[in-house]
Formats: sequence, C-alpha cells, structure tokens
Amino acid sequence: MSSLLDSTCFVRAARGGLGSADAATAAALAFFDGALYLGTGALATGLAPPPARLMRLEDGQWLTVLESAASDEAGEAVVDADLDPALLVAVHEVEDEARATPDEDGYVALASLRMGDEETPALYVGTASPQGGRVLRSPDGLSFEPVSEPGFGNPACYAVASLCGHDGRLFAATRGAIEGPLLDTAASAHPVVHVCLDPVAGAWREASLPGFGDPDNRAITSLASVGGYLYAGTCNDERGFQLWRTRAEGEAPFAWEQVLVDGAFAFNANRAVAALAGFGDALYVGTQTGGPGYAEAPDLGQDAAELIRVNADGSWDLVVGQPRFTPIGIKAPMALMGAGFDDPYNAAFESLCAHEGALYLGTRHWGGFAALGENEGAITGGYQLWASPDGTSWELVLEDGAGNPAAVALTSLISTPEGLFAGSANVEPLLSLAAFLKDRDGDLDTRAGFEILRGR
Amino acid sequence: MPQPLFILCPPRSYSSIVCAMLGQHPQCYGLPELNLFLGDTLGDIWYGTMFMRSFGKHGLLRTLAQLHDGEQTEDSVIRAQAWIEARLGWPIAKVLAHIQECVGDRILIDKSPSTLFRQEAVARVLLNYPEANLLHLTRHPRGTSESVIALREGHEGLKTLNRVLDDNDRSDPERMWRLSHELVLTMTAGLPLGNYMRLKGEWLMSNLSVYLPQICDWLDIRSDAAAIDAMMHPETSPYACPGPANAPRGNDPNFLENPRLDTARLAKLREPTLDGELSWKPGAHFDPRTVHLAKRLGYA
Repeated sequence: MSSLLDSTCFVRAARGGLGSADAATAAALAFFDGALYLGTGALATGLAPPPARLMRLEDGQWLTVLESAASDEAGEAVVDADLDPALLVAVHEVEDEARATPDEDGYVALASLRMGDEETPALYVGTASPQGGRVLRSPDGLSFEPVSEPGFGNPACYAVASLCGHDGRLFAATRGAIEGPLLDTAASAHPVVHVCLDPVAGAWREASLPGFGDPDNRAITSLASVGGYLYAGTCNDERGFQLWRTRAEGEAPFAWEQVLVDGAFAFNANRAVAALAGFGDALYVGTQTGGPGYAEAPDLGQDAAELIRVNADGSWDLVVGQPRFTPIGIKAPMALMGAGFDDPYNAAFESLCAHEGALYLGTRHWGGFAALGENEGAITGGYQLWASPDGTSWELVLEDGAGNPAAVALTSLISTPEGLFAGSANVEPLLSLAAFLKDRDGDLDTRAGFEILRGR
Repeated sequence: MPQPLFILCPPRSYSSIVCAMLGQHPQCYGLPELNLFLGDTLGDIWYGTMFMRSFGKHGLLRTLAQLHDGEQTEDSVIRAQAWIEARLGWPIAKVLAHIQECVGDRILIDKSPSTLFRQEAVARVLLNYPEANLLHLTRHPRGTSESVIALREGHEGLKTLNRVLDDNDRSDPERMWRLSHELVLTMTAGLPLGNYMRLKGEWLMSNLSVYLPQICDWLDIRSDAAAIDAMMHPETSPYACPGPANAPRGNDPNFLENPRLDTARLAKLREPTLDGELSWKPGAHFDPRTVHLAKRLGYA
C-alpha cells in the first residue's frame, strides 16, 4: 500500500528562480551520484532568456555546476512563433535593458545512465540553444563535455528536449524548429529519435524514420523506457498525437510499432504527448491540447489534457478524459473524471512520476489568462499536482500554482530518496503584461521565477 | 421515464437513418423530425417560421397521428392538426412529455436538424432536458455539402424553400456545416460526463457492428443480437416511408424513398479529403475555419 503525499507534505526547496527572477522554468530534474540536479531554462517564450544553469542540491544548498556563457556575438534570441502578438509587442517595449544573449537558453533534459560496460553512470544534459541543442556528458557532475553536434548536425534543431536511457543505451530527440528569428516550439527541425553509439566519441545514429514516416508528426515530444520497450510520443497538429514503441533490437534504425493513433481517437484535441512514465506494469501517457497555455479564451468546446494507460500488450484505457466511441470499443474514463480532471484550463498533463508506490502528475493550467479574458473575478489559476495510489483513482494535492497564478506548470517531477521533487514554470512577465493590457495589474498577486517543491 | 436522446447534426449527416436504426431498438422509439425546439410553445413553432408552415410540421403531425390513432392517414393527420391547434399554449416540454406518455418507457430519439438552426434552439434542449443524452453526429464537410447540393437540386420543394428563406448563412452548405458544429461544441462544453458523445457518421455507417453495441452500452440498453438485428432494419419504423398526402415528409426525402440499409455499399464508404476545389463552388477551397474545425472532428 502506498501512502499519498498531501499538501502538508510539501515545502519549497527553491524559490524565485534561485536568485534570478527571470529564470522562468525548472525544466529538468535528475538524481545523480547521490544528489539532485536541476536544469533551468525553457523553450523560448518571447523574453530574452537568462543564461541556462545546471544546479546541484547539496546539504540544502544549491550550487551552480554549469552556467552558459553569454556574449553579444551569440546572435538574436529566438522568439516563440506562437506567442500572442500583442503580448510580444508589450514584452519588447519593457525590455529596455540590452542584455547579452546566452549561448544556451536552457538545460532542458537530464538523464543519469550507465552505458555499455561503464562502471559508473554519467550525467547527460540536453541543451537548448539558438545555435542548435546538443548533448553534454559529465562523469562526475562537475565537468561537462559535448557529446553531440549542435542539433545532431542540423543547427535548426533548437533543443535536445528528451533524453532517455533504455537497455544500457542513451536515446534523444530534439524539439523546436528555428526559422530565422522565430522558433516553432511545437515542431522539430528533424523529428527523429537518435541513439548514442559511443558517448565518449559522440557517435550517434538515427533510431527511427523522421516522424516515423508520417510528415504530420512534427516532433518527438517524449521518450520513456517501460517494460522492455522504448516508447516515443509525437506532436501531430493534423490528426492528433501518435505513440510508438520499439524493443530497439538489432541495428538502428529500429523496427517501431504504432501503439496509439489519432490522439487516441480524440484527434487533434490531443495534439501531443506531454509526458510518459511507467507505473506498475503500464505506461501512462499525459497529453497536451492545441492551446499554448497563454490564450485568454479556449478553442471551441472544452478540450483539455487526458491521461491514458497503455498496457504491456499494447491495449489502452482512458483514465481521465472525454468519453468516446472508438474503432476498438467505447472508452470511458476509469477515474470518472473528464478531460483536465474536469478542469478545462488544464491544457497539458506535463509531468508524470512514480514515487514510493504512487503515481504523481503535474499539470499546465492557464486559468489566470482565462480569468483576464473574462475580465472579471479573481485572477486565479496555476499548476495542479495530482496523486494516485493505483493509477486509476486520483486525488488533488496542490492547486492554483500553490498560490501563484503565474506558476502555470509543473514541468518536472523526480523521485529521490530525499522525497518527491517538483519543478515549476513561471510566466509572471507575460501574465503581468496581459493584466496590464486589461488594466488589471493591480489585481495580480504573483511571484516571479521558478520554484522547486519537495514532498516527503 | 427515461431521458430522451437528441441527435445533433446539420442536415445530410446520416441522421435520418441513424435515428431510425436506433429507434428500432426494443427499448427506444425513433421519431421523425419534430422541430420542437424552434420555439417555447407549440404555438410559437407552429406558426413561427416559413419552415414550419411548410413540410417542417409533417413530422409532428405524423407522430401524433401514429400515436393517437395507430395509423398515419389523411384523417388521422387532420385529427392531429386539430389536437395541436387546441393546445398552442403548451410548452414544448409538455408536448414531448405527452409523446413520451404515449410511447411508454422507451427512450425517445429526436434528430431534428432545425435544432442547430439557432443557438436558442440548442439552449432550449439543454434547459428543458439537462440530463438528456446528446449524440453529436458528424460527417465530412465535403460529403455533407455535396449531399446538400444534390438534395436541393433533386427536390423542387427544397429549392423553393431555400429561396424563400433567403438565409445566406445557411444556404452556403459549408458555412451551414461549420456554424452547426461550432454551435454544438460551444453549447455542450461543460455538460456532465457522458451526457455528450460524438461520433463520425462515416465510422458508424461503415462499421455498424462495431458502433451500434457501443451506443447501446452508452445508453445502458440491451446490446444482444436480437436488439442489434432490430436496429439493422430501419425500414420497419412507421416513419420510414412517405406519409399521407397532407403530411408526406417529416424526414429526409431520400430516406423516405429508400430506408433500407445497404450494408455492402456502406462498407465501402470512404471519407473525402479537405484538400481540393469545391465541386459546388468552382475555384474555391474550404475556408481555413472549416478546415480547422474539421480536423478537430477527426477529418483530414
């Protein structure tokens, strides 16, 4: 029997972006060599980002073990192509202080992995950079060396956003397509799964066909190793996400099997896979809707994120989501909760993690922006944290961004011997500007910078 | 009494045959197009629109004739007309309650496309039947539009009515498709879990053995072989044929003329594409809003 963490179990292990209020996102967490590591930064949102930092929690203190260089020669920061134009203009108007552009905007993926005949694991870091994301390797958590070319040879690939160990090998996928000054965060310039053949030599090979052979699969958004399979989820604006899996046997590219298609028959209301995690014998899939999370009004209807359980035999159940007829039978949510846990503002189930016999799920919630769109009522919203002892029944642990509507998402979760850690994404500058444009900036009570929660 | 089932869709979305099929389930009763939600009272709808003064009223006349007299003849329709005119003040929910009383504890199934003519009509459904089951039936916008055009060309009465209505929003079949489905999505957001279900008509019609049992499960009614077999014979509905001369319609004219399922033909049903020129509007392509919505509904 598991004992679920409740709201009283959580404390803040970091706040305010750890001394940098414009550090918006705790993008990735890993447990390596007995310590928690945190990668900061994110895919661009329109603001010139601070340099990426990799930090280690040691005896209750956060130490910076890696920080991106910044230089005027690094070129223009890329801008999220999906950002609302009015917000973008406002952002640029308040950016009155020229700032050097960091070489790396984020350390957005982390993995601890022992490969091949290595005696000890190494820490791998996926970077986000206007010059193309790459993979760094550290044998000791202190010194880091690049082990891939920027963008795996295609500098338009902005970030190595997914890293996953499977069967003693490292797999990676990129996210973000750079086109001039714009960044398409939903796409990848080259949507393939890469497999590392030799981490020291930096030898990689493509482990899948681009988009698994479907040009509408714009990005590989998530990877997970569960039950002997490597799973990969996609972003597909046209038909909804797809989920693929492989045993990764033989020579790359491997033979992949399609597990879910057409957004699990919710079509492009389930635009992308936002998170994957194993729990028990099953894979859990958190989805993402089409909205970026900054909109002030929903698309038609009530699309929100869903949670799907994929069993070892490839069959699947809808755990949380909209009931529907499908070619393989009627699917009704086992949790008896509709999309978004019955909350239409939960646009993505962005993080999933098993911890001490329970499954935890962090959401992306745009209620604060929606409140501004309605232009009345309190400006509330922000991430939620949910917990389940069995993957089927769910309880709300934290809501409303733990009191901060600018804390829109829990982007990272990790189980450690020291407890469950959760990292947030904060959009305080965007929410403040949106409120200012509505003449409601006086109604906002927000804090800037990411936070790290620890639950135990 | 059970909650009714309302099939929500624009015209030419397979709703006539779907309603008749589901209505032949032993625990259901499929109605012709009652068009009740065009007003608040029977009087509102009976004299409210040109549509109802034309063949829009045939479905209610045939229903009342069948339920009151056990037959649909010119005489029984005249008596149904008199019954209606004596009750013009009745709220529409009272009319449907009367029909429910005549039918017994079977699930009433209504498929009036006029429910999607105006937002107020959908609002009346939700106001009067907050616990009802809503089946949102979809069809590819190209298939829907081409079918609308073909039906208009083939039936002089529809051409005339369309000219009289002078409703540019609705006379463009693509726009009608988009407005209707937008209305359903907007109005059904936030309904209790399971009250609203959506189904692609093409999926249903080409895989009846897959989807009919699912619909039964959803409605919590029998899905045994006898029940499914009954549903495979929509032609046995009392409304699956032209009515008497004073109320011949009440449903899609093509369905009234040929109500049998052609399963071999349906198995070959294929969805058209969103790409390409519109056959009814040479040189034009689908509006981006139509494409966006169609993809939401699962079309490519």
